[in-house]
This record gives sequence, structure tokens and C-alpha cells, in this order.
Amino acid sequence: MKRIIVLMQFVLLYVAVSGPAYACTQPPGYGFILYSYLKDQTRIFTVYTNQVNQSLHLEWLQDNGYAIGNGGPLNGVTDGSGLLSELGARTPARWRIEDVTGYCSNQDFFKPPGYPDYEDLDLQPSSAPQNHECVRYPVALSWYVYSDTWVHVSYSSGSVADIPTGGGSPPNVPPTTSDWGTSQLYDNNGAFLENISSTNVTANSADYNTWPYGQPGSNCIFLYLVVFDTSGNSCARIVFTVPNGC
Amino acid sequence: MLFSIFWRRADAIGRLLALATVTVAYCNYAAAQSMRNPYESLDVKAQLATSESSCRALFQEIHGRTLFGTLPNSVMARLIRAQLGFVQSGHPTTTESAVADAVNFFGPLLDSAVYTGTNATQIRLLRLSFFFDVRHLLQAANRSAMEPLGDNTLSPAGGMFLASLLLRNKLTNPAWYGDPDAQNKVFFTNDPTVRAHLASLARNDVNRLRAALTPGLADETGVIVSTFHRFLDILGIPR
Repeated sequence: MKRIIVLMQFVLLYVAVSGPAYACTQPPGYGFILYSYLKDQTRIFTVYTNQVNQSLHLEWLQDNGYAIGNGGPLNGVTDGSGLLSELGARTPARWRIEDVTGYCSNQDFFKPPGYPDYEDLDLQPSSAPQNHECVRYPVALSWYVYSDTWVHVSYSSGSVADIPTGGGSPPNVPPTTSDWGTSQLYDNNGAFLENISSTNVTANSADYNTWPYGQPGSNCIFLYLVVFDTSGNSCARIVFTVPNGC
Repeated sequence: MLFSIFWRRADAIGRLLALATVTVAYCNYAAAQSMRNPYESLDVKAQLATSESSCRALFQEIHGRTLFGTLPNSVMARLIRAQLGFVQSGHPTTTESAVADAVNFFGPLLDSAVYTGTNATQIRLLRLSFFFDVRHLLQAANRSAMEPLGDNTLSPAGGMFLASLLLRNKLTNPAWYGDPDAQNKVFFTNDPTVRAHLASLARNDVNRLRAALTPGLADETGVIVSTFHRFLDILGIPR
């Protein structure tokens, strides 16, 4: 009996010591670390920032080969650098990563209705962060200055990140006339110059008169035109100069 | 009016339920409102940063959104001191050219293989690009009500945001690689094809930067932290 007890103690000691090597929190083992970030394509140069303190919901979809680990649904919040550690989760496997809060979630004003609030990822067992991306798509606008001070702005293509049509519409759906509301003109010192009403409005374009600020021969200043839709939402920004100003 | 009729007729439990429903609806509305601008929470924090704890929250978010690792205590204390000093005195501590110098100092030290430089004009354009999203964070220290970007001065938090944002993208995003003067010209183009091309270049390759900063910033006596202090020196943040 005593031998059995001693043997059991050895077994327990072995399990206790060797346990961490197989434990889900000890890489390399199984599970993954997600890195959640925002890809902001609405600017001239795409900008990346981390999605910090973002709530995510994770659903296992299928194994990709021999997988081990917890396949139950998971909820977590990204840390101050956009990381969420799920080193106990089932891998290699496909998981659905749902943005519960943050950008691309259903709380995101600019997420088009019907556009998914999740990303399906094939996740490997690794303690190296694996990317979970949210993209803020741009709308492509063209513009030119005519008759010295008039700016003609037209929609070219793209999504609805800048132009929410009536609260949102699917990507690549053109704006409507209601998206060409008033605009505000600022100079390159951030000084508000004037409110401008849109004229010659069509579904895809509108004209704005920047007079007297955009006169040729004036100092070389870059002007910002901020377009608002009829609901008062900021839709798009345009940077331009007067033809002969520079 | 419908609500007042309902309110008069509801019993106590009903009123509580109605209040809870309104509260939840308001919270959902508030949450939805906060999502209109991806950078809005930064601007709100910039407005509220008048105490040590609120300044700490502001710098934690600036750093967390743009770079990696945790700001060490010595760096955080220095930033908070500078921001509180700025709030109390209104004296600017940094400028657009100082931000460019600081990024040009730190960038090649973090990854000389990809860093291609910046200049004060690029900082100005980046500031203009973000001004309507984070107005309170980026407005000039010597601003007038009429000209919030009237000169090139910045608060410590504004300078840190621009420096950290540009540093991160200059080191991890190919759309930002290359001659800064050429990039400044592109900024003013109205050619959608150029914009589409630049978007296609974008790639978020953060592994090297994360690997350098996360352990580096955890070591108060290490070279990364001392370099970060030098970065703040150039930025104009007092020791």
C-alpha cells in the first residue's frame, strides 16, 4: 500500500512538473494571439492604428487538420496594444472573429448595413500575433476648380466610408443627391472661412463656390472643403488650391 | 407627448422598466455616436486631460493605438508633467519641425532598412489631414479662436500623437516609404488612381517594430528607454 502511495506521489509530481509543457498557456502549444487593427484607407496615404480595448467574440468553425484545445465560444477584450491572447483555444482551426465593439462592429456608424461585422481566419497554433483587420474604405472623389472659384466635386467609385447614403449603403453604391449638402471652407491654418451651399446637384456631383477666398492671384493657400450630407454628417474632405494662386 | 402619456399610466414597475429601456437606448445611442470618427475618443481625452490620471489615460491611448509595448514609468511621468505644465501655462513645448526631427532621429534607429525620412511640411500635412478628427489634440498652442492651426506649435500630446503615428506608419506601411517631398506633392493630387495605387501598397508589417518596442520599453535601464528619452528631448518635452 505504501509503495502505491509513493508511486502515486511520483505520478502527481511528474504531472505537476511536466504539466506546463502541455498547458494551453505555454507556447509553443496550441491556441493563438490575435492582433486587431484598423486600416484607414480614407486618407491619401493609408494609416494603420491598433484597435485597443476592443470587445471580440470568437466562434470556432472547423478544424484544419489535427487540432487540439478549447473549441467553445470565447469573449475577450484586446489590450492596450490591440492584442487578445487565447493560447488555450483550438488550433489549427478556422475561427470567426466578430467585432463586438470598435470599428467594423455594428456600432460603427460607417459600417454599411449587411456588411459583415466579422472576419473568418485560419489560425495556427502560435504565440506570434495573427492579424485581424478592419478596413475603413474610401470613396473616390474627383474635383476641379473652374471659373476661378467654383469647385466641381464628383463621385468616381468606392465604398461608403466617407459618404453614408441615408445612414449607410453597400460598398460601391453611388451617393444620392442628399449626400451633397452644405460644406464648410477652411484655410490651411484651420480657420473657418464660410459655409457654402451646394448647387447644380446631381446624384453623383455638386458645385461649390469658394468666392471670395479662392481668387486667382491670392496667396498660395490650400483650402479644405468639408462636405456634409443633408443629415449633417461629415461626408468627405477635399484639399485644393486656386488655379493661379501658387 | 406619447412618452408623457405612457409615463402617467405606467405603474412603478413599468416606470422602472421604461427608465431602463430609455437608459439602454441612450447608452446604445451614445456608443453609436462615439463611432462616427475613429479617433474621437482621443480627442475627448485631449479635452479632458487636466489631471494626472486623465493625462495618463490620454498618453496610454496615443501610445497604444500607434506603437507597441507599455510606456515605462519614467517616460509616462515626463509626458504627464509636460502636458500638465502646458495646460497650466499654455506655453507650447513642441513644433512641427521638432516632431519631424524626433521622428528622423528614432526612425532609423528602430529600422534603418525601411525608414526613409520625413520633414516639417509632411508633419503639417499629416496634422491637417487629422485636424477635423482630433481638433482639440492638434490645435496650435498659440491658437486664436479663428485660427486653430495658426502656427506650427503643438501641445506635448499633439506632438506625441503625430510623431508616434508617423513613426509607426513610416516603419511598417510601404505606402509611406520613399521621398517625403514626393509624398507631399501626392498629398495635393486629385488623381484617384494615385490614391488607389498608394492604398495597394499598404501593408501592416509590424513584427519588427513590435519585437523592438515591447521588450525594450519594459526595461527601464535599457537602450530603448534611454533612446525614447532622447526622442522626447528632441520633441521638446522637458526632462
